Amino acid sequence: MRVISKGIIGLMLCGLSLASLAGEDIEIAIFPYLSVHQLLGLYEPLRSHLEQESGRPVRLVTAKNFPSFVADVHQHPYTLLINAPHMARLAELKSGYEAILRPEVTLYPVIVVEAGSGITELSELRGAQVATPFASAIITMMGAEIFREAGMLPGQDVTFSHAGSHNNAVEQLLNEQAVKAVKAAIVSSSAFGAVSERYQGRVQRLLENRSVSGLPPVVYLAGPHLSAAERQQLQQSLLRFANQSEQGKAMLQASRHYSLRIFDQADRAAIDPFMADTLEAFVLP
Amino acid sequence: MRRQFLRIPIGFRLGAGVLLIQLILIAWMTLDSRHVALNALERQQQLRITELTTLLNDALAPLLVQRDYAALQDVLDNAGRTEGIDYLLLHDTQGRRIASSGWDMELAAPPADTEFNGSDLSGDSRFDTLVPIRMYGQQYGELQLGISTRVFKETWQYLLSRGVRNALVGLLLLLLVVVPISFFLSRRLGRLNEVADAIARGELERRLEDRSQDELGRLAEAFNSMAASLQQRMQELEQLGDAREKVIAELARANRDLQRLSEVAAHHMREPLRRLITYSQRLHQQCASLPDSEAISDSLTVVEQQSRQMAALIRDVERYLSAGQVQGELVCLDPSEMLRTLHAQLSVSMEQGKASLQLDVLPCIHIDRPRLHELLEVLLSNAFNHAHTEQPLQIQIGVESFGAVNRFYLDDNGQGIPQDYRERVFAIFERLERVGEGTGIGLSIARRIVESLDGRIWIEEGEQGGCRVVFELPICEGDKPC
Repeated sequence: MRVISKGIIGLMLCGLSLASLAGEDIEIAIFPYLSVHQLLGLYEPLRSHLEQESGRPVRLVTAKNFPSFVADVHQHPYTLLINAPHMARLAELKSGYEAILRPEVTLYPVIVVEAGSGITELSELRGAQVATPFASAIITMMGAEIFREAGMLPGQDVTFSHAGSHNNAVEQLLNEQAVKAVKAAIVSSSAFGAVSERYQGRVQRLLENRSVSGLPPVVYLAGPHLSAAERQQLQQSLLRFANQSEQGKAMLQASRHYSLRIFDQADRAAIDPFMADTLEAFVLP
Repeated sequence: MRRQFLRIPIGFRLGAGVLLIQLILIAWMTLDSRHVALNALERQQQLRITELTTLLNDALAPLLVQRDYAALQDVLDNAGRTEGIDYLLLHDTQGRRIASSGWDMELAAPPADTEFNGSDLSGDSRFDTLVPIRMYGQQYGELQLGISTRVFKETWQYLLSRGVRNALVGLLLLLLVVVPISFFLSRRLGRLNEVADAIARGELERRLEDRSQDELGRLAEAFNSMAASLQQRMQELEQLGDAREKVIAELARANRDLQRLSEVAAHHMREPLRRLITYSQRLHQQCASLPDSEAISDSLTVVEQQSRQMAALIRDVERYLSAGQVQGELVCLDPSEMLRTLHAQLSVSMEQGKASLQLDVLPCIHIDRPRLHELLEVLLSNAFNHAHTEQPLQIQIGVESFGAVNRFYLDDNGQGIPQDYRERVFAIFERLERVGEGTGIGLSIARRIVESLDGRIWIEEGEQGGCRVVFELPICEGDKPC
């Protein structure tokens, strides 16, 4: 896989067609933030683009959950990795990947409560349960940081209840018959649009804390086996696809990422505060 | 062959024909239903395989994308418990085995079949197939599965046995229906045949005892009506026959009386005539010395001539009467030799030394000898009597066959007979000219002889310009040489 990927990028650099490349199939790993069907449908234009350019079969792969994905990424050098920001930084630090691109949009946590609950201040959540997607999600870690800044320690002043997904977190909040102690839910800013659309009038935003730096929703990483030149070539190819081709624009529009830009040191710096929690959440093989 | 076939009773033929056709139909339907059932089963099996592999693809593909091998194994284990699935073996895109159920991972996989073929039921009862596991057009692995064909075979054998059983039941029912019908039909037709034979033998009182209202019953009724009508007609004919025989007998008796009267009259008239002629001759001698003897002699000569003429008339009347009677034994006689003899005699007597006779090969004539002589003499005499004086008489005699009759003709180059007289000359004592020795009864005698033999005679224009006498007679029995 490593040799093949190098060959692909080398040919790209030389301006030659990738169709003459022989070897194994190319795989793109995407962290499982959507169902398999949704992921494969959403990223099909990207897969098709790379397949056309390389002339080789390109497959999208994922994992059943974040820990599995992190472990898989650590064990298999994928040519292209699309990962959550904290797991992307982990892949950089522990598995040799290099972040090359990110969407322009920024992801930040939104704390929502039930409409009409009377809760207007964060402090009113002291002692309450707060529903989150799951523990290893960056949005959970960012939500925990908000509570810490407000002087409430997660696990002590508030209790996090991991629902498994953004939607489930809101479901827990609204389903008082089942979980009466849940007073708020933490969802991502990108998920909030869909949530407020689905539960019209039933939830309201309590806090949109911009004090916690916004993070990219996803990060594109080049495989650890690629050279610097190959990574740069892959970066340029993806930028052209995302920002210039109709298929790329449509894909980014559908994913609400809208456009890509180069991942830089400032982005790394924004993620690094969450690396302690990240390293604690994931156990690498 | 056809005759032998037609001798077989119609009921048996009908029954055998129906059975044969039904056998062919049952065989055809059995084969056809076998074909249809096999096709349907194959399609059903193929559909089941397609549905199964589609479901397995949908279940396995996301897990393959996620590389969730434990979940993949769970899916295979669950699917492997489904009835009809013998084993499942999952490979990734590199051909590595990643999960299996019902098959040892270490064992080599059996070769996959290309297509399910239901008609090949001889091999093992498993269909091995290999299907790609795809998602969004991308292949993530391959699943080999063995599907048991036991149910398919059992279903197929069940359908086959049912088909054969139904065919046999149908055949048995048909036998139970057709054989009795054929038997009863044949028996009733046999009775009809028996009664028809009896009636043909003359047992006109026989009738069919069939009271049924079907076609054969109505036929029997019509047959009985026909037999009754025939019996009545036969009785009427018998009565008519009796009356006819009486009339014929009376006619025969009257004819015999008339014949006898004629013979007696002729006999008794001939003697006075003979005496009249004798005394006339004696008077003629005695008066020779008397004055005016010449006038007396002339008168006596007339008396003598008229007496002779009357004697000739009486003789011809006798000939005419006897022409209608068989004189001796009726046999098949060759007329050729008799014609030559008569021609020679007449040539001398009629002073026609140069008369010629051209005679074709003639068949025999069924007649008694005297009358054949009479007939031929009359016809030849007629030709000689009407010959031209300035040219030799030429006579040609031939024959043509027309079905059951021989048509004889006698053609001469004589004076011929005008159209208006060709029928009149057959009337008795009818002559064309008043001179000559004939009495005008010859052709009447010829017609009487021919008609007594169920023939006919007439006159036509001769090919040589003279007269052609034509007569038809029935062909002599066997037409053998005489």
